[in-house]
Amino acid sequence: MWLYSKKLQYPISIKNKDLSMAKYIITQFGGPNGELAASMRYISQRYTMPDEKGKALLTDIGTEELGHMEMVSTMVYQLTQGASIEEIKAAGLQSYYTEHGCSLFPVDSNGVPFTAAYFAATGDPVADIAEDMAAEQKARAVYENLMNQTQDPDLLAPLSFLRQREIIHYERFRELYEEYVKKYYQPDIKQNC
Amino acid sequence: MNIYQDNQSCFQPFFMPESHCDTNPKLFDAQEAIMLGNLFKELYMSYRGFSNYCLQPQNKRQQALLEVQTYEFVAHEINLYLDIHPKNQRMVQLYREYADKAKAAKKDFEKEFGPLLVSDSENKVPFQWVQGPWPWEYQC
Repeated sequence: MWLYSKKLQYPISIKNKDLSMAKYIITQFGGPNGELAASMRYISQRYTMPDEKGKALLTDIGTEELGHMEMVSTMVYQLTQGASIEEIKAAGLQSYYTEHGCSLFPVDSNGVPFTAAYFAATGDPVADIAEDMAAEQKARAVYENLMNQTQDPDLLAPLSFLRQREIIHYERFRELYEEYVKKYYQPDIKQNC
Repeated sequence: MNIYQDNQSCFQPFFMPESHCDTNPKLFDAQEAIMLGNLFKELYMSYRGFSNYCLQPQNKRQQALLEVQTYEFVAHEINLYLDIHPKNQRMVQLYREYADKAKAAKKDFEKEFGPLLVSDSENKVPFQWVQGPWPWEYQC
């Protein structure tokens, strides 16, 4: 069960419209290294974690990622508020606008729609946590690529916050991974579901 | 919310690479932690000097909300740490401390600005929960 708390994890208030940045930032909503993919991946993987630590960590990070999805969506929403058709055209967002208007739809920065393949759950705890470590590093790299493209502090601050969260999550997954490699890395013993 | 990059009045994050210590991780204080997105000094890694922002609430609502966000953030950081290190007594105690601070800050916020959880809505018409602003809106 999840409860909604009516606030962001970290405050966001973007004063300047910037449609090109919205077009790129939306990948952290619907792209392969985005927050929706991360959240769904962890929340799906948790059922096959072999111990309490894994179940707890994937539940808690998966939940936080839902909050990050909300932060990324908020950025896209605020960056596009009051955009004219001319501005939408200038940013190359006509295709998106045609299909989705001004709504939030999960795509990457090339417009490729979200796919469940991003969940990447194998049922093998070592493989899954290794996947999660890589996912956190990839998300960190994407946040850095995004930060390289703007000077707006209203945008840099939440991007920087989110980037830092990837570093923390990576470390927690790494700690779990090291335990799991010692305890459960026995590919010749096939586990039952 | 106004956000200033590299504000002089703001603290400079302290970073010292050390071996990871299970028993007593070094922590930023709560205000630094939310600003950086990281409670753990050993894990902090800045990027091109970008990671240093002061959060400047522009009104009483933002101020009260930032208090909730700050304490909840610290409690959440400790929660993730405890998922992997559940036997660290100092961190368990610290979790309780910050979860209680978050609870108190939430109560203060809700008294003045309405419920953060639907179940905290008062016995009033119209139903408080339905009223904005919602988190993605500017005035929030």
